[in-house]
Amino acid sequence: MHVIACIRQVPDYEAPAGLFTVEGSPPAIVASREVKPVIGLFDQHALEAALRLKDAHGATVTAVTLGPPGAVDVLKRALHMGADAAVLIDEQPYGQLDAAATATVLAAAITKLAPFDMVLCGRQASDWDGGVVGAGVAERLDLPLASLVKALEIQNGDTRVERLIDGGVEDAALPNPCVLTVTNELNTPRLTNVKHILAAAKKKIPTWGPADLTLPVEAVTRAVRIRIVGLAKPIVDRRCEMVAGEGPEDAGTNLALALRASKSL
Amino acid sequence: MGTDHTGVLIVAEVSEGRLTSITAELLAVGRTLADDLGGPLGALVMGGGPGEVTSELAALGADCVYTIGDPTLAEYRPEAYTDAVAATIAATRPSVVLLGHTLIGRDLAPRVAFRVDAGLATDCIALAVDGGALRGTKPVYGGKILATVAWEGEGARLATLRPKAAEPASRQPDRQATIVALEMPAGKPERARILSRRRAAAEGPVIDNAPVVVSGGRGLGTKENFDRLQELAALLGGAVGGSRAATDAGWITSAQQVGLTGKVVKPRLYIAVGISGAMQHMAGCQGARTLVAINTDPKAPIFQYAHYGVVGDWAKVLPAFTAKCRELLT
Repeated sequence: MHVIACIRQVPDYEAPAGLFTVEGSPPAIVASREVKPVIGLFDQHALEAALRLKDAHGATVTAVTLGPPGAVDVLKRALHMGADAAVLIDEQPYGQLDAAATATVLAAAITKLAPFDMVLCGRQASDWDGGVVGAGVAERLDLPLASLVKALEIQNGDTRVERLIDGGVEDAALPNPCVLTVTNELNTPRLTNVKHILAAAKKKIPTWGPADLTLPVEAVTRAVRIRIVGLAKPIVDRRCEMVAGEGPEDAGTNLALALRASKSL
Repeated sequence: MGTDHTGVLIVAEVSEGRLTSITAELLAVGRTLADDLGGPLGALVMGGGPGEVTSELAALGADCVYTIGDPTLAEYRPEAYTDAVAATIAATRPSVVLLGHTLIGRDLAPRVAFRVDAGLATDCIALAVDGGALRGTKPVYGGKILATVAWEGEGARLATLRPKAAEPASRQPDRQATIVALEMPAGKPERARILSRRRAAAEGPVIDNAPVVVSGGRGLGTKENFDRLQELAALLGGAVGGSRAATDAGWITSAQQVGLTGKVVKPRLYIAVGISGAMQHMAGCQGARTLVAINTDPKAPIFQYAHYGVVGDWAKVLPAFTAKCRELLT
């Protein structure tokens, strides 16, 4: 069994809003130096799901990322968590990519990694929050897709999933190979471990470009459908009325009175 | 806009025979865009159901209602819905297609976009026509930044609209629409086979349209502590929600999660207890008319969004607050 986890490097999604600014022309989002690059939140769960298939079924796990050369760090982390192989696809030759163009590039990389049984993606990237790429990979590769997966197992060679629906879950069975996008309910991502860190030191992480993917830059540029034409920080102009008291209990009482006075209660 | 594409199509959502609230919001935004672009506003409703749904779509502003009455569409099925929406776009050639950024829309819109090779901007909080071109406003980086996006290429432009970001369309009971019945396209057999659906037993009232929501976060520490929010919620006639941390800890179900990857709520009163106020959470509650925060950390970002705040240990603040509310309300 070969499982491919698509992971993306993003600025730490837990970092406070104040550490991000919009600068330059055309405008770009600039994260302060203290914001560390990390694997996207939901992509961590996708990677963990792949590693659990390795633990349970002996799957080989390949982590793939599309990003700048520095994104190799998230691939190293994937190897340190137990992934068997990793591939960096250099995004720089392609210019500004949207979800559609990203799906085109990832689909080409995944095709080159064939044969495979499953492609795992996070439900949405923790930077652009689009939630589009996973479906695009499935559609480009003409593979069955389940999104918003919160439970996963292999049964008689099929992939069985529970996916989020309004007010509950849906059980579905997919033939392999398939594409899944996963939510944070699926699992708790593991930490790195010394054995894997030592093993990773001997592993090479190849970088693939347009020639390796036999995917000309023009084909990717043509796939772009969405362009960002403006960026701004949202304006928050609320003044919070702080309610105090002689100790926390008194503050609680005063809060009720303040809400009553403003007819909020 | 695409050369021979005209008008706006919204994809209606129906639950238990009634249009859901996002549908009225889609119709309001769709109406403005259709007027600005100079074309009709169409609404697609799938799965048959009662005739009141079609007249309701007309009353809420649709000029044309497309129905695909196939019983396989009675409930959401990803592959069949993708086929049906893609076929409707091919047949009606709209310039803009709007879906809700609901659990259905989050799954359906990307599938349709790739099927018809259209640009898709998800989770838009505003859509407008600027100099003849469609522009979407979309929170990114968990809501820390607002992006304005433009569409490229010919054909339809797709967008999903964040629930409760727009006011719902107002009802004009006498309004009429053209009804067009479309055939269900012959699709391939379902590849991701749906085996069953299980509705989670709701723990108390649902948060979606509750007038009051009492939400807890990581700061509450344990499930037992979290359950103490129930008393206040019941007293105020509200529902209990929570942050992603509360879902991850197993204190609440996904259906009660408020935020970017959960629900968007717009209650009269939102009380956040032990929630730091990460942007991902605020995306789901900053539209509340009155937002109250109780948190030990005076620097917690939640106080930038709250109308009223108490800095203190929730375990001491909350019981006194609840007791005073009980006294004032009875």
